[in-house]
Amino acid sequence: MSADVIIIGGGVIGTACAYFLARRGVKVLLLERNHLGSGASGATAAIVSISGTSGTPEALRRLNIESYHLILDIEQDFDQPLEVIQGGALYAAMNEQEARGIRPAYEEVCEMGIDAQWMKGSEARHFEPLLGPNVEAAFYNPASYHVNPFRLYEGYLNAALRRGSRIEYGVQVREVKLKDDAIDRIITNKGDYHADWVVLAGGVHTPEILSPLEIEIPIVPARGQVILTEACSVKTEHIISFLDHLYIKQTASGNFYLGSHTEFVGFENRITLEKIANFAQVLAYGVPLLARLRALRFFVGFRPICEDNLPIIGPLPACSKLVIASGHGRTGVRYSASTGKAVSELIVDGKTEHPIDAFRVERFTK
Amino acid sequence: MNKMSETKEIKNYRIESGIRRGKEIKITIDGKPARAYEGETIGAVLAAAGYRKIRRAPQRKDPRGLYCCMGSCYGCLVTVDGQPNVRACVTRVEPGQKIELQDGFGWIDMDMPGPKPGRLIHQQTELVIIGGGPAGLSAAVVAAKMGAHVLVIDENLLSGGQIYRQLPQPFQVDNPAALGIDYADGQALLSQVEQLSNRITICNDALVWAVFDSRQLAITRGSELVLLEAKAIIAATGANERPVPVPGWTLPGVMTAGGAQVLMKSQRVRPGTRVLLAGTGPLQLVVANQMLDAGMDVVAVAESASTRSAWRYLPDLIRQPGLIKQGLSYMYRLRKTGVQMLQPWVLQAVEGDHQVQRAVLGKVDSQCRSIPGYTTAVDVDTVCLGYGLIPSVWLTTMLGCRHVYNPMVGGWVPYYNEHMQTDQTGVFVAGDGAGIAGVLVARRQGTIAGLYAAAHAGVISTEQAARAAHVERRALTSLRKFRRAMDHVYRIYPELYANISDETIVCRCEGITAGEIRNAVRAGTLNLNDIKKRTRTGMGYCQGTHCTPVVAAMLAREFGAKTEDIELMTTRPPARPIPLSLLMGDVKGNI
Repeated sequence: MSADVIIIGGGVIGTACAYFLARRGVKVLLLERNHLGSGASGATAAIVSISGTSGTPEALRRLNIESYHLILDIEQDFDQPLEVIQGGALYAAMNEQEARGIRPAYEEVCEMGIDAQWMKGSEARHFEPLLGPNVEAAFYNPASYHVNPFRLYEGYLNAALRRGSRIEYGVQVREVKLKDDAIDRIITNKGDYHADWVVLAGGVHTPEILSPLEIEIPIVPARGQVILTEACSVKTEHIISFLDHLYIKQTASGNFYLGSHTEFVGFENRITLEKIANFAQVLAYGVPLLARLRALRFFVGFRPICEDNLPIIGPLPACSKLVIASGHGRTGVRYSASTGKAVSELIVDGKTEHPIDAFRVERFTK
Repeated sequence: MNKMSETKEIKNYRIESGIRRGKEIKITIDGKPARAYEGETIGAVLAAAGYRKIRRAPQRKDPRGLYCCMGSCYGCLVTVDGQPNVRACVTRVEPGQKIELQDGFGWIDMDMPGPKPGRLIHQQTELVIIGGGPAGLSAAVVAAKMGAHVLVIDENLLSGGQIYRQLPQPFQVDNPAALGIDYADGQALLSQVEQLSNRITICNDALVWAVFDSRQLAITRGSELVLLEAKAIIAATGANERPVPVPGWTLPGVMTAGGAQVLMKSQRVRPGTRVLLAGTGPLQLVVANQMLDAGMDVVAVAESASTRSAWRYLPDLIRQPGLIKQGLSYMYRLRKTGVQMLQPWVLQAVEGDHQVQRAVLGKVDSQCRSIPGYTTAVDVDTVCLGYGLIPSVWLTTMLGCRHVYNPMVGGWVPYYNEHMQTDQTGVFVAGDGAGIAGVLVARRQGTIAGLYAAAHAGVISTEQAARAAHVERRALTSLRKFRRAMDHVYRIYPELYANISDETIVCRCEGITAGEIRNAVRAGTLNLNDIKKRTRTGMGYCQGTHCTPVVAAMLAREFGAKTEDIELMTTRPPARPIPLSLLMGDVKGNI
């Protein structure tokens, strides 16, 4: 089997790379070990915001803003709507101390030129009636929306397939053999594959695919536990966020998606009562409606997180034909379009529109 | 024809023979007073008052009624005193209740007092049995006799399971014979349980919804959240009815054969007036006879299996002459009463304006393939689907037990050894949850599981268990051969699923049609998890119980997937939806 470019990993990053490459006329073969979105992409609230902190590198901000608009634009190219809910995000503080805690984030967003609003508790409740009496203050970031993540990666994939790309499921890549600066072959459980280029978008599995090359990259699974509630006739378009990255969003079908802490426990995929009870309580303290709803599902996701919290986008130092696009942590959906675009530019043009030096593999392999 | 059935309509759907109901209580349905009696479920009250349509489904706004009647399909959700999405079929009426029929999701009234926050309780026991049917209770009795302390967790309001269904406490039984032999057998088993009440604790209306680390069972009981640790676990979780969709199967008036039985046996309410039973196997004959007893008009019984090859299995079938004789006598009575016996015929579609008015049937060959030109239609107001059972393996899956695909059962069953122990030490199985085999097998398997679980818990020695289990095992061998023969005669062929049009709803909870599922499969997937994400099939209240077997059957029949290769959909807790308020108590401090 051969193709111009083989992409390893059928998550939101791999499919986005396939889409942008296919748009440039490249014939792509996507190899997925399990099924579409079976990793972190299948367990996400798929929130896309423009936000950051003072520590956010300029390069990441550019990708952020670009991706934010790109996803909305390319929806027209997809055969199904993305179920975009463009209601912005509310960051709620439950006391004075928390209010001081979220203030810098508010100021950052304002500095980025976004028309954010600071609200007192009563104003916030008026703005979003789901907020309960315990909310002390909140700020509103209009530059935030969420989509149906399944529709997003399926959309990327189907639009790539329409342009002549292919996907194979159940193909587990064991090793990418290199020959000088070229790809020799890709060894899998289904035999060898050949391509001029390889894009490694294996998420949490990226390190194990690189390990035969004796390249170590610090991507680890960061477990997040999720609660999905029954659907509900009360509707909100706002994402409601609290401290510690806890948030709720309501899907287009009316269910509330409640997430999520970050735990470093390897691939342990069982939920724990302690965590789900803890964040259900925190969220219901802010949004009392939640205590009236029933949980339909508890599940966990493993986000591929890099030790410095930045993604890895760029070629391997040892081989310019092996491009890595992994380690997006909690923000794979958010950066999917700009990552896919950058990877396609790297392969087709040899250079990218926005600088991606900050995401180079070399920062770990020196 | 329609006019005729209208004039024949029974105004009182309650069956008055054999029992006396509890006190009459006052409730309202959509603001209008309705007749209700203590001990009745809301579902029974609605059915008795002639309500067919209970709810409009949120997605397609199509009408729904009682379907499974045992709390598993979530089709009958109503609003009770401002609390939406309450299952009518398993919720008791209370004096003064205000019941409202729902349009879609229902409305949460935040001015009403909310549910109590959960209270965490840690509990330990020697033996826990999940499921209070014949298998579970048999296990409990023998283990308790051996000296074990046993806790039986049962999500039903009353013990007995599906076959030994009992009547609610406020009902008085005047004539037990009117309730049938299963009722009497159940009474006998329950009185044994009663005599051992110093060692057996029965916990009804309780749900095991998760298995946490180190095999801790999370159980909800009202507003209590019990974390239970047991030395041995017996999963006697029974089975779910095999869903076989046809166009119109979501219409009010279509229900499972088991659901119809619940209404008749345990609530003494007629599910309808003029009935068609479509399905396979002897259970249909039982239900049809119960319907005749209840004074219903059984129009036809359609059996999908051609039993012509039954003679081949004769040596094994006559191992249980009693059962065969019973079956023949049921058939004789149905024929004598003038019930149309269609065999081999299958249900092809259900039609009607907002509720069942007509059913279309088609003749099939010995492998369930449609024979063109042979169709018929019957005017009925109720259609009962009884295409056999599929083991409920949620709990054993969560417990990490290995499962094997059993083509005769047409589903996944937990692997177990001669001690009824799974590959997980200390986890035992018994009854239909271990493979569909009926009540006689369930009781004996339950006894064996109870003995070895007691031995595992250290109450008796393994030698003692082996000696006591010996006699059960011999009987089981004979019963199993009989069962295998029956399985062959009433085999489920892939063509049973030939009538699912693109417009047919497959996922009842989310309103997902077969066409949507087919599109997802054509887009390149044969994986149930992938289909779930692409289409929402299996994301609803019933946790995929009523749709995944259908999707698997479609993958096999239409897309060439090997049934045994189809991976089970990933099991996620909770087993059934649980109120988030349960997690709102002081949970953190206790762990």
